[in-house]
Amino acid sequence: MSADPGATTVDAVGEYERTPVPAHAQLGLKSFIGQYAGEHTAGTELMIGPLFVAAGVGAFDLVAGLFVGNLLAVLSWTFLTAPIATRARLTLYYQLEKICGPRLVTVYNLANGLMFCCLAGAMVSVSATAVGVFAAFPMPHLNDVYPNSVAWVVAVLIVGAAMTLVAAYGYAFVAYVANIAAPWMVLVFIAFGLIGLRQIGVGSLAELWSAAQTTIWTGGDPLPGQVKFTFWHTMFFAWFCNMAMHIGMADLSVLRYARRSWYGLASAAGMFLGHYIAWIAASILYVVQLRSDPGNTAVLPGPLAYNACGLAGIVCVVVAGWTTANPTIYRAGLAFQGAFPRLSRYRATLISGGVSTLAGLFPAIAMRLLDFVALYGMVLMPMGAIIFVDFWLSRRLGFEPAYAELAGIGTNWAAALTWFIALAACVALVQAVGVQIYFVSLPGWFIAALSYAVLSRTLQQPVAHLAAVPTLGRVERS
Amino acid sequence: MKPIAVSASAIALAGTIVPACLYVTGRLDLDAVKVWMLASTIVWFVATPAWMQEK
Repeated sequence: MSADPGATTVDAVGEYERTPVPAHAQLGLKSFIGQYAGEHTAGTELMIGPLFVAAGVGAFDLVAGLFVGNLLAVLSWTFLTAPIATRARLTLYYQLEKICGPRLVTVYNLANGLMFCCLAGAMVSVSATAVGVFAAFPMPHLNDVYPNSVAWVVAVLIVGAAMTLVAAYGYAFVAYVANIAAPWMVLVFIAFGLIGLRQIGVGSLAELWSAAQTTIWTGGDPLPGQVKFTFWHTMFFAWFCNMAMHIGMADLSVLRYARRSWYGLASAAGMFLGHYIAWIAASILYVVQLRSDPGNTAVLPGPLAYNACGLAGIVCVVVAGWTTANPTIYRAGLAFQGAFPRLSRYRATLISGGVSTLAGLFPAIAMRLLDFVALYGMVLMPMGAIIFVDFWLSRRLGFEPAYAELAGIGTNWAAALTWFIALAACVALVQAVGVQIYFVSLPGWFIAALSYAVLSRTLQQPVAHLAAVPTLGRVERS
Repeated sequence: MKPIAVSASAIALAGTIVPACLYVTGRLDLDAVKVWMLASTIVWFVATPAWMQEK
């Protein structure tokens, strides 16, 4: 998935953190196509693809659901995130600070940092499965929650420690390796799919759809412990798996460098290479494994890749996991540093790497990645709704935008309560009404938007000194 | 030097995907595919840094 929450050469530079990106620093379309394609062809794609098979999805439901869901994700980037990013040209954090106040942003940073750590933990787990190819030790099974062997713990600790040190000392180098690896990695993912197809008996295009329906995505019962996926599950998962980035507005920090708002369409490179082709290819590899040993339901990207492509496959798993875990650990460090400004970036990265490694010990995060990703989007989504309403609708609805900055307050309670209400409503929908977590963020967004509008109108006090407040960073909504 | 490196990278990309295509059509066995892919991987990571600049 994206796995990678916006790892980017542009925002890694850390410039223009509290000022709009100037015209001379803005980037062309090509930069964003390469960036999105690289970010979303990650190690976690090798986990997600097989989990669709484990969920018993049918061929049409998968192919059509992924297509529509990915299209909706691209449109979300293009019509929700990019228009605000290219008008305000501010980081997510600064924009949130102006709306919500620094104290609430601290809470957001903590939540965001923890989510990043769990995501990076899944990537550490993925890379640790590559170690298991050479050092034969018991690896986690599909429904394992806790580490199942000492050797697994040791492998994760070694991989996690290495990734953490590199993130702390050599971020720029790994970002460079990620750029180099991206085109090759996409082709290796395609090779996974092609080789897998042959191994299940497909030798021509004419046989492809028939094999898809009868062998790959047969649409039967899910594996034990898994949720049955339909078209709607697949579509909503594909749309919302990067919800924190588009609807949640985290990619404001990335797309603020775009010269035009339609550059949001560049996300199609990531969605249709990483979240379409790579997921499908990884699905096929898992089916090959199930056909050769129906009892082996473990989703282990290392062995899957090795069986298909040999050492090149292993290199792909390691590079894909490493190059996406690296910026994720770094981003988590930035989020923690935002929450605790006295923490040095080096220490913050070490702490986030340590937390990520601990998370990686627990296979449940990687094996339940579909659920975790849905939870991740749900938790951060309300802030995106707040930014959307504040930016586009505040004046029309009769309240002030960027109220925390205008009023000079640490916490905008309208935003804080909105976050709480939206999450409480989502949890209630899941727990009490039985709505599955994959769907709940859609009503959650509307609940958040409505709550913020109503609460802002209710709670905002007239700010007497409005005229005297500097309007740095405030923008025209054209 | 740069044109040679770019050409080597292009050949390496072809060497990554073409063997898999040949395997699908039954013209290459899997062991040979793995060897070609590993060789192409090495060529890609040696040649590409020579022309892809660090940003």
